[in-house]
Amino acid sequence: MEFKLLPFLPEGIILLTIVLILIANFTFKGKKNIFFSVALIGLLVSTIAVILSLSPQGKTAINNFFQKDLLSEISQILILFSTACSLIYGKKENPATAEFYSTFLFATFGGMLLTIANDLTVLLVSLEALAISLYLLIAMQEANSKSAESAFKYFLMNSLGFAFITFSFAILYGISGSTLIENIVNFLEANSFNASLFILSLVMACAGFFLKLGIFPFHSWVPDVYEGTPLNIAMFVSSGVKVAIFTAFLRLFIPVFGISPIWIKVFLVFSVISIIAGSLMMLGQDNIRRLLGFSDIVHSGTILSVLVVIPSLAIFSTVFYLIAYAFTMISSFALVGIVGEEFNMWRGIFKEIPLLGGSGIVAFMSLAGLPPFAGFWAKFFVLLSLIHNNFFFMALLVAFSSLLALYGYLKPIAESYKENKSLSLKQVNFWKFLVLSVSVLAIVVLGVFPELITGKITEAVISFLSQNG
Amino acid sequence: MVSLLLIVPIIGAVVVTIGKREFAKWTALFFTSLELLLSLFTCFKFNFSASDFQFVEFKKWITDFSIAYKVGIDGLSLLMILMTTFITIIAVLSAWNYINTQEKLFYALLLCFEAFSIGVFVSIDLLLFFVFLETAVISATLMTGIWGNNKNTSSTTRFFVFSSVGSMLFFVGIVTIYVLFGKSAGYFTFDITELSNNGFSVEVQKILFWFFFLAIAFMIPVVPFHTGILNAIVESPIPGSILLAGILPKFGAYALLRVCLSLFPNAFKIYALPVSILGIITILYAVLIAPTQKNIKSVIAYGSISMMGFVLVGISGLNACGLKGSIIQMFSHGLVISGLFFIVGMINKSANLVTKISIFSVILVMALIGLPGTSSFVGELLTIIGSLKISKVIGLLTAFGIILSAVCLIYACKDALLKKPSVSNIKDVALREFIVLLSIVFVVIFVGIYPKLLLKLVHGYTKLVLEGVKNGI
Repeated sequence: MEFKLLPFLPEGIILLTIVLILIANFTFKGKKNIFFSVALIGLLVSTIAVILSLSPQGKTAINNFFQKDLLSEISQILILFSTACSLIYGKKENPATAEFYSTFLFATFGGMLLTIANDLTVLLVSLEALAISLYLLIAMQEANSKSAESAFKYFLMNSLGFAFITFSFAILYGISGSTLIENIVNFLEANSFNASLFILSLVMACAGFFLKLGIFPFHSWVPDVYEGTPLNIAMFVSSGVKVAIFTAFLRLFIPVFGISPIWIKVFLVFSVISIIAGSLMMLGQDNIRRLLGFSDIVHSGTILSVLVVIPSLAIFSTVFYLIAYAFTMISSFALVGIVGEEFNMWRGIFKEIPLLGGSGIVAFMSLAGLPPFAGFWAKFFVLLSLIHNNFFFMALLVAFSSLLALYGYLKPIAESYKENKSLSLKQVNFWKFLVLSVSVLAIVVLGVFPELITGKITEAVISFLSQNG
Repeated sequence: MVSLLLIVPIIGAVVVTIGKREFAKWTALFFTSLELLLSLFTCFKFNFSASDFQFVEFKKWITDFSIAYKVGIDGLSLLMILMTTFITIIAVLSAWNYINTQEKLFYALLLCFEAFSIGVFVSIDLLLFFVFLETAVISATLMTGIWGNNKNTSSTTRFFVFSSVGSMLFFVGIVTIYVLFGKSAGYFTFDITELSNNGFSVEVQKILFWFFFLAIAFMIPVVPFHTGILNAIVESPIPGSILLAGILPKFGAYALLRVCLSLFPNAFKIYALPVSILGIITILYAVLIAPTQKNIKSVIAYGSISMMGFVLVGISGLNACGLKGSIIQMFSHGLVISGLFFIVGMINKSANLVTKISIFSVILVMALIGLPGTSSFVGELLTIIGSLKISKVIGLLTAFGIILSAVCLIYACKDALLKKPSVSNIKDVALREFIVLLSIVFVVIFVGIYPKLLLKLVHGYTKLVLEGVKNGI
């Protein structure tokens, strides 16, 4: 058994930071900012470690239990970025305890492991590491009864999803006799097996992951959690967690279930209903956090729809979509925290503070997929992939769902045009503006120069496909 | 050269934003005038005898998908650029005393709108075209929303959603063309000049044609799809109305000429009759509704829609006469409509009627209905001659449209032109306003008397596109 630790440097740094924070809890009890600073430094060093290890060649570690390639590294950078954003954003509101910061970093650690898991057991363990930390984080604000409620909902639905996934993996293990994804794929290609068992496993895995991703019939927790959790946790759930789970989903589904064409039908049906239902439910909302929740359902459905096309285009579009979407969600939640979550709180924003109103337009237009913002290219690649594979009506549906959504996003923007002499914003701190401006800038820059990342993503797709056939 | 045209207004927008509030309008005026001079300078450099794109600039944008920043100018683009730069100056001058809140933001948006509109007219890459189109619509929407009628932001929302319906259709359409072309030709491109040799079968062209036509119908606007833009024009502040009514419909007509006509000539030939009928419906509906309107802005907006109807009829003629006529009509429409809205703005702001402008308003209303001697007459005459070649009935109906529009629009404007003003303190027209109106009227009459200059400008384009139509089947 080989045991190399060097490939785990970024994850190791995060673990080390968690330990440091716990030790600091004993030694520096009085100083409030120490945990925050240590956590941020840890995130920064870990990001640097990921960037330094970027290479198109895939690396495997510990008997192929883990597989690192460009795809996982891109996702890890996104996860680290969104963790940093939500920590910085909530600097004032976060409980300044060692428990909070170490739990948050443990969620990040789980997410990072999830993107490199190449084995069913590792996948399950890291999925739970992520989920359990999130249950704690959501419930940690004692004063807020809504956050306890949403923590409970999140806990119930995600445990259910976890149960489905475990069941599916058990069947897979039963069929193939191995938990390593590579061995399973080899077995399925070489031997005959019980097809109905395999389909059962596929259905269970779909149900579990759909629950975790918030695809339509399994969506009910999404708006509630987005509404009830502390803002910066919601920001992390909508960006970092999403990226981690979708990456794991790609790594599992494309090689293992890609053998059976039945998943195309399943995915198409579920993406159609979640796009339609999500955009219709968006229309009646008057709270931006719920609006973002439903928009999340639509976006998950859109990403799901693009997975049915040929793998190279599917992975490319998905990764671009996730990147654009993560930045957009971070900026939207940052705006909600600064301006307010009810539509009428937006009244007069554009008249009084044009920069804030402008950021709102950038974020919401990017969500709706209009140029020249990052969301536009995400939508473009999705449409391109769908039409290239003759899913023309699906492409039309995706295009028109964004119109319905646009109507929802335009409501707060229309409010922001109106006169409001008595506009009073709460004192906004520097940290919130920092997160907002960085993410809005990223949306605009990616919108104008998408080539900054498309080259890297293409490399990642090529290396991923060369390893997984 | 072309990039310079694009970058100057953007620089202007930045300068306006960082400059002082009092100088915002002067800075905007300086940069829009600079842009007009630049476009005139382009005119001198332009080779009138060539029919291809000139001053072409090419730069890769996304290499993996062969999407490029490719811009260039031909006769049609040049005419549209001249019109845009001219109208933007009118819009700046109409905003002079009209916009009193957040001037910096307003003029910055206006300059951005100018840059994006010019971008629409110079893009050779279809995706670039779409990006410019959508950004221009977003900046126009912001102007309408923020400075328009405050109690009624729903009309702005409706306009934006309606135009987004059109743009989403357009978006799906261009991606489909890209994929179909790439699959048959072996390489992918968004370049219009290459896509025009697509060799799509007639069946495919037929479907794509209606797809694009529907998208364009929201922009021109063709009658059942006109409500969004109409309300936005009425609710918008005067400079916004000038841009929305003067420039935005040209995007649709330009897309029809540039995309539908050169990419699907065969389908266009088959569907020339239904398109011309839609054009006639647009003309008749708009002029018949106009007299029932109480608000002078909606009268002008309906007049504008009827003028764009002639453009549609002319293009569907698919011959040199009709095409040239509708291009001149596009140019003339921009000037006449922006001039009329400028006058409305003057009346609104100073709350009185002005003595010296009555002559200008009469001339512009006459230009609206296409009286001989004005530029619209040239456009409409050529349009009728062109449409006669589709069928005699269509030609007759178009001619009837002109007569009806004269009756109805004069009737609609009669109160404004003939009744005694109800306000007593009549102020005279300012020098700035006088110069604007004089220059508009000068250009309108000059083109009306001597249209050869414009005809020569667009000759190359029409020749090229008609060759494509001829070789189509």
